[in-house]
Amino acid sequence: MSGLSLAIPSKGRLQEQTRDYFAARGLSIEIDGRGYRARIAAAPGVDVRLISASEIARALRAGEVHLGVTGADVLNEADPGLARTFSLAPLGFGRADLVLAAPACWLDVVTVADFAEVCADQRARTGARARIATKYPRLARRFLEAQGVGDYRLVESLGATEGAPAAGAADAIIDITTTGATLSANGLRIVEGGVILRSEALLAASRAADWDEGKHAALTALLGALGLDGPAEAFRAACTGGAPAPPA
Amino acid sequence: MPELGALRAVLDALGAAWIDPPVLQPAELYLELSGEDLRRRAFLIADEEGEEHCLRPDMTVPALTAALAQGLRAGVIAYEGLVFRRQAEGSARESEFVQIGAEWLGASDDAAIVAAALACCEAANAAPLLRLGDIALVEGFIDACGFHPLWRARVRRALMRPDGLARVAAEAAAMGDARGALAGVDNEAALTDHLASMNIAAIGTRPLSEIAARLERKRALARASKPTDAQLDALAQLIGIEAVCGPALMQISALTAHGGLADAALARAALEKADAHIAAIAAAAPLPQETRFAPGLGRGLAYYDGFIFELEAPTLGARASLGGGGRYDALVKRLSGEDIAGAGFAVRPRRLIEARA
Repeated sequence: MSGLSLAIPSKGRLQEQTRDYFAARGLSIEIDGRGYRARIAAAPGVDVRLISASEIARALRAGEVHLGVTGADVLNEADPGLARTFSLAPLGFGRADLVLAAPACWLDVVTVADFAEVCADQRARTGARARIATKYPRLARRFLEAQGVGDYRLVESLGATEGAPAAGAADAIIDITTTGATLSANGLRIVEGGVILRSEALLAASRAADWDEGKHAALTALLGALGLDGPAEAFRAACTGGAPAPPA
Repeated sequence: MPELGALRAVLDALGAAWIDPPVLQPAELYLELSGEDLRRRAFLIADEEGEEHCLRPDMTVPALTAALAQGLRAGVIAYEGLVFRRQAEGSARESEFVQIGAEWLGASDDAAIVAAALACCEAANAAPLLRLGDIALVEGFIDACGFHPLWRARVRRALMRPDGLARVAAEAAAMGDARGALAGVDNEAALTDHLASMNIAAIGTRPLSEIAARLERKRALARASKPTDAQLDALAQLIGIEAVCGPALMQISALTAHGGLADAALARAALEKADAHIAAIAAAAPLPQETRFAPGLGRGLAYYDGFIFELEAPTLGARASLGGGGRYDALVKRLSGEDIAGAGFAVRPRRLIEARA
């Protein structure tokens, strides 16, 4: 038993694609009837845990699991700059873009610079800041700051973010899109230069987890079986030479 | 700390009324004043109803709010209390510390405010480094550049951000972009027709008339002369100046001959005002040796819209703040809804004691 823990999505399309990815490389993930537990027969030392996709990013950041499959978007949101986590490999599925989208009827807004000016104008005209709905507040703040958009407020979005402008709950959104069809259907358009992150599913490691020589060796073996040579060594180097381990 | 008594005595001598505002402040007010960046700098707490509050990140806004609520419209108020600032992970900076300070409501004199702040340093036996800024001088140089009127506000807004001139240049490149500025769509009716023909729904709260008006402005902007490299260079040099007052004023005087300034007389007039302002401050209180002048100081800081100063303790490391202050008329106007001027300063007693000469 290596004690290496691997979190995979507990349901949905992302779980199917994760299992397909592993199975195609000879590592079938078997899930028990109740869908609580899983194991990889070809890698019995790996403790496979089923966790909801958004929780995996948090568990990686907290060091509760060694490895996890999750989207680059939620991982970057939970751990800005990937200070406590490490991307071992992009997996080629779960592709989506995190974008800034504004009402399509704002014909004058082509670029992010236009958007920044409209926000400033609105504050000067009404005294209130423009409202941007998102489920990705940290990535949104980083992007808007870097782009010089200052006069805005974020609105926490719990349900369908793309409906917020039409409902009058926000002026614009920062959200995930795959084809852009949902944005169009809601009267929105991606602002030029407004692609914040091109996301896909990642196999990621937690720097905050308890790594020792045996676990690093188990990771090298697991990644070797997946046909991924190199990232295990890069991760080992990042753990020893990189940023100091965060406090528990 | 016996020094606290001495600091209080300085504020009492100003005839200040003491104000004890609540630690918990409505987050909404601060978010509107400082923007989302507040979440990185302050501690926010949600109550059971989901209403957000913040632990006061400064004393200025809470003290002014409390004083205005008591009906005060003029005079000096003083405060003493803990403020809370979120620090980056691993930072050695304190996330809570005491501030003591005063605010002047109504007409006040910048020189008297600096003098009071220096008196606090003296009461604690601290030898500060004083840095003076002057946004009015920066404004004067912007005027002297002679930007096209459509560009002036853009340059000013960009320049007031901490990442300043790179932003101006980027805006100059991006905002001359007339795409989307459709000929003929310059009023609400034309825009409505155009959207219908494109099968685009008019959603959101931004008025169509405003969209049409901005389309027209974009067309005009694309035709207008853009900020030149020479103009931007003159401003870059100005905000890059920081030196002991005398040499700094000489450098700025030399800069008034810069080729990017269309109207050098405006720049010289602004410089004369800045010079007189510094002289008035020096007349009110002997300034510490090596007092520095940096016209661009305070750009991008939340409330300040005019004169600003900072007190530092070089013995405590780079940029170790002892306190500071300045003028924020727009803030008081916003809080009170009335045309009331405001200015003030705050110092950090613990740092003052650590910086004792």
